[in-house]
Amino acid sequence: MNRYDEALYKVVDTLLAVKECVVVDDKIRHQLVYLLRNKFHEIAVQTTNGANHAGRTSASYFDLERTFRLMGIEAADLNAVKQAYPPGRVVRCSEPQTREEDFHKGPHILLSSTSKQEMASRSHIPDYFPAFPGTHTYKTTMMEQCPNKDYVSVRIRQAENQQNLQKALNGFFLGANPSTSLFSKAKEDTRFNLLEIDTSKNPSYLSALKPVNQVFETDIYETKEEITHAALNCPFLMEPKLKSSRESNDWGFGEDVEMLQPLKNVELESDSEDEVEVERTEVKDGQTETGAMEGQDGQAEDSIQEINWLQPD
Amino acid sequence: MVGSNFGIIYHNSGSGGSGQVNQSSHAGGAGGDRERTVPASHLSDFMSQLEDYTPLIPDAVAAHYLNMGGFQADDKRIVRLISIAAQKYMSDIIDDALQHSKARTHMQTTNIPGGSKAKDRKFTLTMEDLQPALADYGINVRKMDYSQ
Repeated sequence: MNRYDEALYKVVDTLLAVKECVVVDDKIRHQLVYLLRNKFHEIAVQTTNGANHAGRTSASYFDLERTFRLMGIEAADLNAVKQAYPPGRVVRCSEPQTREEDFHKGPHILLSSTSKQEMASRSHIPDYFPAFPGTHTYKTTMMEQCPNKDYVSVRIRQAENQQNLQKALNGFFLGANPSTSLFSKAKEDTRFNLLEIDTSKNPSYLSALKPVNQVFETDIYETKEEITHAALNCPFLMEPKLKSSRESNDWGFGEDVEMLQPLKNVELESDSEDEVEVERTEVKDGQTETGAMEGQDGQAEDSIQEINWLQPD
Repeated sequence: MVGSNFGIIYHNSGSGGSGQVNQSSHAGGAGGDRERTVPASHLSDFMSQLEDYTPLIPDAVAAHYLNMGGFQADDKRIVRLISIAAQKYMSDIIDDALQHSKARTHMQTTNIPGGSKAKDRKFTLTMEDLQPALADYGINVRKMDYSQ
C-alpha cells in the first residue's frame, strides 16, 4: 500500500470518528476508500474532458466550475463542510521514501557470466532476478586431452614404465619361483629374497655365438659335405702352397705373386665324396703353370670346365 | 493569478472579496454571466478563502489522484476545492449510512423489550447500512456469495 492510499484510509477513519461510527468489517473501509478515490478520478476526468472540448490543453478553473455544476456541487455545501472541519484536523501524508527498487543498482553479478561481453548480452534480464546458477550446472565444457609430449616427460614416463614392468616381473618371479635369502638370521623377512637361479647346461658363450634371435635363410651351421660354388673360389679352402720354386732376392723384387684365376666348366657331383679336381693357373712373369689334382677317377680336366648348373649345390 | 478571481466579472455582486464590478456587459456573455452568477460567485469567492485553509485530505494526496485522472492543477486552491468536494461526498455517504444504521438499530431496540438506550454509544456500520446509502447515489454494491 502506497502512502497515498494510507492517507485515504486515515481520512476515512477520521470521518468515521467524527461521525462516531465504528466499522468492524474492513471491507467497508476498503469500499469507502475506493469510492473516495473514484470521486477524485471522476472529477479529474470530467474536468479534463471539458477542457479538451473547449480547446484547452490544460484544465482551468472554469472547467472545474462546469464539472461542479454538472455534479450538483454547490459552494454553500462546500462552505458548510469547511465550517464543520476546522483546519486543525489534518491527515498527514508520510514523506515519500524512495524504494530500493527505484535505485538503479546495476545488474547483479551473474555467476554464469563474468565478462563484460556476456553481461552486456544479458541486458534484457531484469536486475531483480536472482543470480543465475553457475554454468557448470547446465553447460558441458568440451575438453580436449592434451598429453604432455615433451622429450623429458616422455623419457621419464618410459623409464618409469620399464622400471615398473621390471619390478612387477621380479615380484612375480619371486612369488612363483623358489627364492632364498642372503641373511641367515632374518629368514622371516622375505622382502630381500633373491631368486634361486640354477646354472645352465649350455655354456654362456654359446648364446653369443649362436644368435637364436636372428633368423637367416640359410643355416650356416648346417654340416654340408659338398662344396658350394663359393667354396670353390675360397682361397682358405684351397691347399696351401708350401714352398715357392723361385728364389727371392734380398730386396724382395721379382717375388712371385700368385694369381689365381677362377675355374670354369667345373663338373660337380653332389653325392660324391671325392675331392674335386681344381685347376689352378699361376701367372708368374708371363709363365703359367697349371696344376691338377687327380681324383679317384683319374681324370685330368681342362682349364676351362663347364659347370653343370642343373646339379644342386 | 494567486488571489485573483480569474477575471470573472460579476453583476450586482454584494459578497465580500468579489472582483471588480463592471457595469458594461457583453451581449454574448450576459446569459453566461447569469448562469455563472449564483454558483460561481460563491465558488470563486469560496475558493479564494481556501488560501489559508487546509482540508482534511492533504494536497499531495489529492494532487496525486487528480494526476492519475489526467488533471494537473498548479493552483493549490483548486486542489483544495476538489478535496473539500470529495470530503463532502464521503461525508454525505457516511451520514446516509449512519442514518440507515440508526434506523436499523432503533428497530432492533424497539423490538427487544428493555433495550439499551445509551446515547453515547457508537454505531456500527455494516454492509447492510452502506448498500442502501450508496444506492441513492446510483452505486450498486453487492456482496459476493463466495466472499467471506
